[in-house]
Amino acid sequence: MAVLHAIASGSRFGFDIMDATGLGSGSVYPTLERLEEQGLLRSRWEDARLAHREKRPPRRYFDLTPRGREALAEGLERHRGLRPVALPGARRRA
Amino acid sequence: MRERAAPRADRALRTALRLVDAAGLLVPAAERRQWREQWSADLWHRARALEGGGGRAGFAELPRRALGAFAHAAWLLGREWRVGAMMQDVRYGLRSMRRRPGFTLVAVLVAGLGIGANATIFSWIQALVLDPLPGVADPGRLVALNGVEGDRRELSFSWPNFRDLHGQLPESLSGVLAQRPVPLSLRLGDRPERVWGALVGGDFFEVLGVKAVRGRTFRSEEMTTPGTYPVAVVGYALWRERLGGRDDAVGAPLTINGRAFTVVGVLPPSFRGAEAAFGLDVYVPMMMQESIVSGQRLEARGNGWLHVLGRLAPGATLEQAQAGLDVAAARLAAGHPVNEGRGIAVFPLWRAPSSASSVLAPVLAVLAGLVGVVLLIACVNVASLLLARAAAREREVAVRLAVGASRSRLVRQLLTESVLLALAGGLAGIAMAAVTSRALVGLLPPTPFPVEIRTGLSLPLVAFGALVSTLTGLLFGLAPALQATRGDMGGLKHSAGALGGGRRPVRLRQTLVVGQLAMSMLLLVSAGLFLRTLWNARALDPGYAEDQGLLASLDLQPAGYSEEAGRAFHAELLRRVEALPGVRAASLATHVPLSLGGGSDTSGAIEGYEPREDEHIVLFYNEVSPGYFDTLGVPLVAGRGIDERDGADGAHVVVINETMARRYWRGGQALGGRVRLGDRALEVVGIAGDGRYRRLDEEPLSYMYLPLAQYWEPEATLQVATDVDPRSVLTELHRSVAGLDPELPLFDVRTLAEHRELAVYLQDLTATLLGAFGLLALSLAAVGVYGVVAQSVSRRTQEIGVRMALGASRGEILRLVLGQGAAFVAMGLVLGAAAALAVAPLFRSQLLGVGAADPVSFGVTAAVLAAAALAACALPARRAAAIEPVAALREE
Repeated sequence: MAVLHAIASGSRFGFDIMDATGLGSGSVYPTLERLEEQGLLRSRWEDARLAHREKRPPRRYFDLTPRGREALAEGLERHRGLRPVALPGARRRA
Repeated sequence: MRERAAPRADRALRTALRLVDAAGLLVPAAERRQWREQWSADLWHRARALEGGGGRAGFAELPRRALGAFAHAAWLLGREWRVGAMMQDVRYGLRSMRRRPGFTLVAVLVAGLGIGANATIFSWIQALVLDPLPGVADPGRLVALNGVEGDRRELSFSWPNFRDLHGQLPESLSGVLAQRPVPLSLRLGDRPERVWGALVGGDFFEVLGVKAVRGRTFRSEEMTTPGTYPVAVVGYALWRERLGGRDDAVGAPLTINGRAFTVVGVLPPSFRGAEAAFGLDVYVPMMMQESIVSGQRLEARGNGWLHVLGRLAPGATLEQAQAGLDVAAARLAAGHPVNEGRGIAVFPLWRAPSSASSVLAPVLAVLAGLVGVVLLIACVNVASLLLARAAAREREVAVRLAVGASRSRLVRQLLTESVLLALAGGLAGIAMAAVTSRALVGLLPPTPFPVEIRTGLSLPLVAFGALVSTLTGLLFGLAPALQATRGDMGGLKHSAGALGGGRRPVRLRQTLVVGQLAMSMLLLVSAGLFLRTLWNARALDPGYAEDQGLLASLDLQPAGYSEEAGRAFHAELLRRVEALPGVRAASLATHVPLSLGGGSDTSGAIEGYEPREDEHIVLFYNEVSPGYFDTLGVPLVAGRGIDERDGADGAHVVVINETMARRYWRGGQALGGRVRLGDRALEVVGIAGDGRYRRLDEEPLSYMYLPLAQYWEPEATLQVATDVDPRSVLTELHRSVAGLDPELPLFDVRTLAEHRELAVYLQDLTATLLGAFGLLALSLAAVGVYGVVAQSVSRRTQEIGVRMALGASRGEILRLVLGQGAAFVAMGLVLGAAAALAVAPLFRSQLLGVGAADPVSFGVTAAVLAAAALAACALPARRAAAIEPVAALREE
């Protein structure tokens, strides 16, 4: 839930999601893989040529799928009260 | 700030990347590259962000975050091995087994034979060594106590010695029991029946931890007051089948050996007594000895006849028990001269000398080693089959590699398939073992004992089968799986139907077949050695010449004969039997040479012979009637045999054997010498030729023949020498006995020829089993040779076509193929001979008159194997020679 929400709020790379959720790297990456397996996320690699021009390695970034957005909406509805606590990253961006 | 931050960021980044590299080793190969890119890119961007002052945790954050890569990698690895993926492998494996039913059937059968042979031997090891006393609590803490003297370590206890030991038990033992299996005459219906039971003493049921399921076991007064409490505890089987399984059987009377006993308890079904490999049905307190076996044995300290077991006290070790028993033995020796020089040795149950377990343990060890070899051969065969199939599946594997399956994933898939094959084989093997282990019991010779070996389906057997199957599957699957997945995309270059992928699989198969031939050689050489041992054993002089006749046992004790009446019965029986048509001679003796039971021994003194300080004279003996030497054809070297003069009132005499004369009279005149047994001095009146009394391969024993009439024993064996087929006098023999006493059963009736087979039974059994396993191995190896040569011929069809087109004759092609076969057959034989030379000395102690490097066994085996292997080559060689050059060249 927290990971989905972080991505929906604009954190799209592994480390940003860690910052947004406060979770460690050892749990965020496997969570991302699981969510992708479940079809709630979709991952893409940045365009390699673009990255090359900017002299940086291309990154893998994550988007919600339509099913992911649905799941997030349902989850938020159920856990309305928990929102402020679970999302420090969202606050930071706000 | 940025200038100072950049090198620190780079340092932290490098550390972090190194960690990620290390963690990457855990990641499945197919995902590794992308995984590294993702992590290094994320770390790189974070490092840049930190340089810009965007990080709150400082540069230490990078290596700390990078540690998470290990968790991530482990998770990915775990995902690959998750149950879901495993189930997928299993389903895939089952499908591919179904797709090739012929292959599957052959592989399962071959694996099943190997596993079944091992499970069979395991079930025997289980019954005889691992769990020799079913139904007993914590058998691992039970120990056997034997009398030892000089180099003899299997002496039994007399009751007085046991009683003293029991009374002053070392602290390291929590209890001891004494027992003696005995045949009993039980009156259950109209006629008396012979049933095996045991006289038991000490803390019998307490030491064993066995409780009655109905009624009770014995009370202490019943175990300590002689002749007062005729009570019995019966086994579950006897209670169910013979006493109707009724609750009121407890408290009911039971006539044992003509005397009324009371059944006080029923034992649990799993308990069959405290003698390994025996099944006993009735237990009677030692105090009732005189109703059960002859003599007044409760006071004779020099007469060893009891087997003793003990239970180690909690926390005590075998060494502590031995130390305690040394003290006890010293006390017994100090108190009673008859015990001088005697010690007590403690053994783990299965290693006690003279127990069925320890007698059979070396045989079982050899068999276990050999069936292990059979299993290896079977593994090699299945591996060879899998390799052949791997060649056919090369394209499938290449495609899967190409679409991104990792090699480890594919190896696992293939291993899953081979383990599935092996497990199916294991099921077949366990089913086979359940049958064959019982069938092996059927191979046991008729013994005068209640041999009962509980084999068949059991939990440990199934567990063993499952374990062996899994290991087998991994073993025969690993090489083919690695082989099959070795190729990069090379397999795609071949057309789907192409045979073989390069030379590697063929070479591996050839190596396997060479190994197989070597192992078959090893097995067959071993079989040859034991076969020669068997022949040598058969050819050994047992010390008696007669081989046409009958043996039959009878026991006057249960029938209630007094000593005097018994002697009269014996004399009249011999008179009647000798008068039967076809009978040449007849006699009675308490022991027959080379019975499985061995003989009796006693301590004694020789007049004029001064034993060394540490020497204790142990004499083996037999009580015989007049006519014994003539009936069995035992040669008399000097003096006379036991004859009519040696009746109950005659002078005390003894006939000794040559070994005894040499040992104690040292070349002097033994005739007329005197042997002192207890308070009797016996005059030596004859010297008989040496014989073999207990085992065919025994060291020469000092042996005496005592007159049966002077040393009365109610249980004796009748020897009848015949001029005609011994079976033809059997009816008349039964009639003679019935004419004297219709209530008296004759038991263990056998011909002398059958009896001789009994003496070589162990060698016979070993040779038979080894021969069977050797033939199994031989046929498996022949199939392997055939497969390799046939595959090679199909691969070389074109080459052969070219050769023939260039003028090679069919004979030359035949020689080419056979030559190739001969090369690795020769290699297999040389390796096998080397292995046999290394292994055979391990069972040298079981060989008789044949060296471990017996050239006959090696030569014949090599010839047989070579012939079989070349015959297996002949079929594909003929096919090669029949190739039409034009057709072969047109292929492809």
